[in-house]
Formats: sequence, structure tokens, C-alpha cells
Amino acid sequence: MNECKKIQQFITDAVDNRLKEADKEFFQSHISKCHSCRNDYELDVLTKDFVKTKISRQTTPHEIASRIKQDIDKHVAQEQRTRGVFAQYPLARAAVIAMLVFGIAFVLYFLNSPDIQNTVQAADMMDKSIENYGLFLAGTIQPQQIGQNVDELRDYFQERVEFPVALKPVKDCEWVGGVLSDYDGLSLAHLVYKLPGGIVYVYQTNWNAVLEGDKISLSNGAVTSLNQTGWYVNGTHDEYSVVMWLYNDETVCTAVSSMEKDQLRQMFAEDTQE
Amino acid sequence: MLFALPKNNNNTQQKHEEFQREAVPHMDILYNYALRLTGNPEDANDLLQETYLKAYRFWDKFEKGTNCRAWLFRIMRNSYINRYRKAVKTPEHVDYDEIKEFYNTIREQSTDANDLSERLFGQLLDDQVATAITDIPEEFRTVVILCDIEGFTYEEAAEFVDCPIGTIRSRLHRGRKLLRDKLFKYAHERGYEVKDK
Repeated sequence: MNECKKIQQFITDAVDNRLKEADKEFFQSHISKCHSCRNDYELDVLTKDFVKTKISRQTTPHEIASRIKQDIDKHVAQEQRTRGVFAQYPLARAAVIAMLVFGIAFVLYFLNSPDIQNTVQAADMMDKSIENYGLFLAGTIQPQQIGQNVDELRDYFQERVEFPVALKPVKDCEWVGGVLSDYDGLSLAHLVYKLPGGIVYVYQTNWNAVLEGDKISLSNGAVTSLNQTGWYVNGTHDEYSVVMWLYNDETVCTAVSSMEKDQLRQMFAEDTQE
Repeated sequence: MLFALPKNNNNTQQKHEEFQREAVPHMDILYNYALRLTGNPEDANDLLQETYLKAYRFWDKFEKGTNCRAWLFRIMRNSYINRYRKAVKTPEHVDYDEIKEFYNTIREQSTDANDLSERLFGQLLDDQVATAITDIPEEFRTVVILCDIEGFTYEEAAEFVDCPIGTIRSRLHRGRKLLRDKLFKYAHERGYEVKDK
């Protein structure tokens, strides 16, 4: 019986001709006397072969291939046009830059108010989170909705944002606050957990929007790690830890706190599961 | 400096050439993956188009010298998962014993693989097999497509899916079982002649 269990682990390798020499004999001799294991093995071989004969390799339909090429060419043309204007008319470039600089100064002047700070350039999500954490600590940003636990914030977020907001209950939490903001049409959700030792700030937004990187962006390292593991832990800060994770594959969350990064990650560990 | 200045046209040109050279040649393999993943040509076309546009937009994020095919593949898989996540199928109850019992019976009467295959799966059409593939959950489906249809090694599949080889092996094991169950059921339900005597 125990032998059958061991054989089960070899079946897939045997089907794909990957068995180590040392295991081949053991496998063969077992299936020659155990019909049940032999049948399991043969059924896998038959399934694999059957599927392979039924599914044939297709080539991309010509019109799709050319449509894709056209799409890319269109993109290229667009890029060149924008760049062309700048290359040909240095004055236009200077004017645009001057306008932008002026515009930013203007925006900063008026926006440097107790609101969540936005800039015109695509902001790095990590920098933004750290900045906002500081603003929460200083009391510059105040939650709009406060509850004893995350469930009391559910309705507040649900009606107003298009991505699922991660609302993870946290142990020993005294209260939890939430506030939404809008960044050039992109919704941002901010959560703050008040714990006995300090606060945990969580910044959340639409993952696809971050991947597009028009408004909020992320470093390549963070994107790769999130794509691969669902997590990204940044270890370069002394006074605080930053942990990022994907929630439901739709929302990217960044938590900032003064607690240890492992502890912070642990706090949201089950959050990545649906 | 506040803003990166627009670079000259050479960069666009160079990016375009690189993309044509490195990414475009993998179109067929991606199309086939899209086809097996979605189960129909319209969705496969959309997915392929979306993948290439994203790839072009993020081309500067592709690490030169690494496996471009695997990179494109991951973009496609993520796009697919994002797009169709709402329709995630929960695996239904699978009765492996039924097939095993059936196989045990026919195996006693024959040892010819073609004959056994025919008795198991009847005369299923290619389309029905394609549908059976889309009926198994994505994580298993992807590995079956890569290893059994495209013929990738476990190592290659592991790079594509970005997981350990052991995971590929166990998903393949489970995936084949799930698929076999679907095929067997289809063959029976559709009233194809499945001889058990």
C-alpha cells in the first residue's frame, strides 16, 4: 500500500519520461504487479496522447496579426508626432516646460492645504504612501469615516470606488479610519488603523492603473515582485516599514508603519487570498 | 529636473525595431495559448491584441536578454486572469473511481492503446476537446496547455508560470485527471458509442 503511494508521486514523471534511472526499475516492477497503479499511469498516458492528437497548432489569423502591427505602428506614429514637435520647435518645448513649471507652482501653491498631496507627474506609489503616512501622523489628513472595526467602513468604500478595497481586520485595533481621494480621476482609498503602539497606514488603488503608470507608478522591482509573489517588501527605511501586496489581483495595497516589516506583512498575510 | 525631456525619434525607432525583432515572432505561440485559454477565436484575438499592446507600452520594462516569450506569456496570463476572474469556475466534484472502474473493465479485454483510447473517449471532436480544456480551472489548464499541447519541459513551464518545478508537476498530475474526467463525461453525455462490453 505504502509502495502505491510512492508510485503515485512518480506517475507524472513517468508519463513525461522524466523518471530518474534509479527509480525506473522500481516503477516498472511495481506497475507490472499492481493493476491499480498501472491503470492510473496508462490513463494519464492515454489522456496526454489523446489531447495532443486532437488539438492542432494554429497560426495567428492574418488579419489579427496585421491589426496588431497596425496598432503598434499607430502607437509609434503618435510617439513620433509628439516628439517631433519638440524636436523641431525648441521654442515650443521651452514654452511647454515653462507652462508646466508655472502650472505646478500654481497647483502646489493652492493645493498645499490640509489635503492629500498630489503632483502632476505620475507619482511613485511608495513615495506617496510614506508621505501620506507622515501626513496622517501629523493629523494633516483626517479620516472621513471612523469605525471600531473594518466592517463599519465597508459601505463607505463600496459605494464610492470601483476596485475592491482590502478591509482586513487587525487584532487589538482601537479604531480604524478611512478616507477616499481622487487623483486626476483615479480613486485612492486610505485606511488607518490605530493600534496601541502607533498607526498603520494603508494606501490602496487600482492595480491596472498603476501598471499603466499614467498617474501613479511603481518601480520595476516592485512590479516584478508583486507579479511574481503578490508581495513586495521594501527594506531601505530605518524608521518605518513599507509592505506592498496585491488584493484580489485588482487592488494594490501599500502599508506603512513603524513596526517591523515582517510583523507588518504578517498582519496582512491572508489578505491576498480571495 | 522636473520632467524627463522628450527624447528624439531614434529612440522610438529603436524601440519599434527591437519589439519587431524580439516580441513579434512569438505571436503564434501566444495565439495558441490564448485560444486554448479562452476557448474561442474572438476572445483569443482580443487577448492577443491586448497582450501585444501592453507589451509594447511596457517594452522598456522588459529586461533585455531574458526570456521574452516567457515575459509575453506572463502578460497574457495576467490579462486573462484580470479579465475573466469574475467567471472563475469552482472545481466540481470529480469521481475518478468511475473512470478507473470503467478502464479496469476495458483493460481486461484489450491492451491496444488506440482501442482503449477510443473506448474511453469515443469519437470526441476537436472542438469538444478544446471545450473540455477550457472547463478545467486556469491554474491546471495553463500547465496542461504548456506541457501536453505545446510540449514544454517542466523547467520551461516553471519559468513561464513563475513557480517551482514541483508545482508544475503536481498541477499537471491534477490537471490531467480533471481533463480526463471531462473528456470521459463528454464522450458519454453526447451519446457517443463507448463500448464497455
